[in-house]
Amino acid sequence: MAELVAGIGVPHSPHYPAQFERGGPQETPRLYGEVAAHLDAAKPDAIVVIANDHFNTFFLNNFPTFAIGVAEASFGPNDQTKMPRYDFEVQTELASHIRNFGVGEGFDFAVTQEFGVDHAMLVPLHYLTDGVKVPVVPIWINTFVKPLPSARRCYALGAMVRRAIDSLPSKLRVAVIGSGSFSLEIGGPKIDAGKRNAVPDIPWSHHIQRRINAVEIDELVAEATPERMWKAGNIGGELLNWIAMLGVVGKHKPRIILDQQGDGHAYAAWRWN
Amino acid sequence: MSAYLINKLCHRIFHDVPFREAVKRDPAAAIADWPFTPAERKALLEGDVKSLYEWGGHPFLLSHFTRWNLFGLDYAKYSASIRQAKDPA
Repeated sequence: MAELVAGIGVPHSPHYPAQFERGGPQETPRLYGEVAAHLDAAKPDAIVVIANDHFNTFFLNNFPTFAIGVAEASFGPNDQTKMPRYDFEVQTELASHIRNFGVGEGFDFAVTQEFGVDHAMLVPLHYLTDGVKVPVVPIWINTFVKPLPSARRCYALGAMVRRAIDSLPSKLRVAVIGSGSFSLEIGGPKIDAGKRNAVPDIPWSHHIQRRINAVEIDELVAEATPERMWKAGNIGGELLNWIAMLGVVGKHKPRIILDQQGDGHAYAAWRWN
Repeated sequence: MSAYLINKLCHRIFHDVPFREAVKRDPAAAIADWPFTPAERKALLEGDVKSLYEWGGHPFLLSHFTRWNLFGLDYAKYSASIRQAKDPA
């Protein structure tokens, strides 16, 4: 049977790869590295990545609330992010199983069978893996076109993905990555003068990290209303990617959860032997 | 107001390089065929992202303009305008 071997939460700023070499001495690659050590130790055969598309794989002519990629392979970045191009395998058996299992449980995924992925998936995979050689299962959540799905629904989606993994007959070691910021504004009224972005609510980011570390997940899900996330910036909905990841992981204390000072995001890892 | 058309323009500019170059060269000519209202066209050509946002332009898409200083928008002008904006209902 397939089993979950690791859970990971990280940010996905598209500016990082141009600024910080993978494995470099600066804070950002060091934080990714601390998390990557847990992912490496878990020796995954497949990585489920839960993130939001930024109008690169999808657009408003057809914008899914929940989508899954079921193909042989994919590539990216498809959004001009300054980073290496990766062509990578999709773990088709697991992707197809999660789609079918999900629909059976009432999670009616949109499905794409030909797609590229943007920085939200590839920046984490770039820093956390050795060249994206482990096959991937991409799952997208709409975290920034209102109305967003509820935190409760995203947590339930994650819990469903976990049951799907647990019910796959193949022997497969599966890791899950949830990627996004807790507080970030891009291009909206809360940006700083003379800049394109801002971090409007660092206390909210710290609060989320305390909740996760204390395994107060029900409380976090209840607090993560659309209004509360919006207060933390128009990118604040990316918390939903983490909440879905927490649904996959279940209620366990992380091995590590590391704050990045001055930013509204964190780096966390769960692992089972 | 057509928020969809505003967002579609931003998306096209981001992903279609020849179109982006045309917008750089002559913004009014490049969007002449797009069926914007007179108010939308004026707001675009003046870089009035406050209005475009209030009509439903997505901030992530609107902020693409600053990557190539389109419609006269650098970070200073963009932020000065958008910081005055109210969230659409």
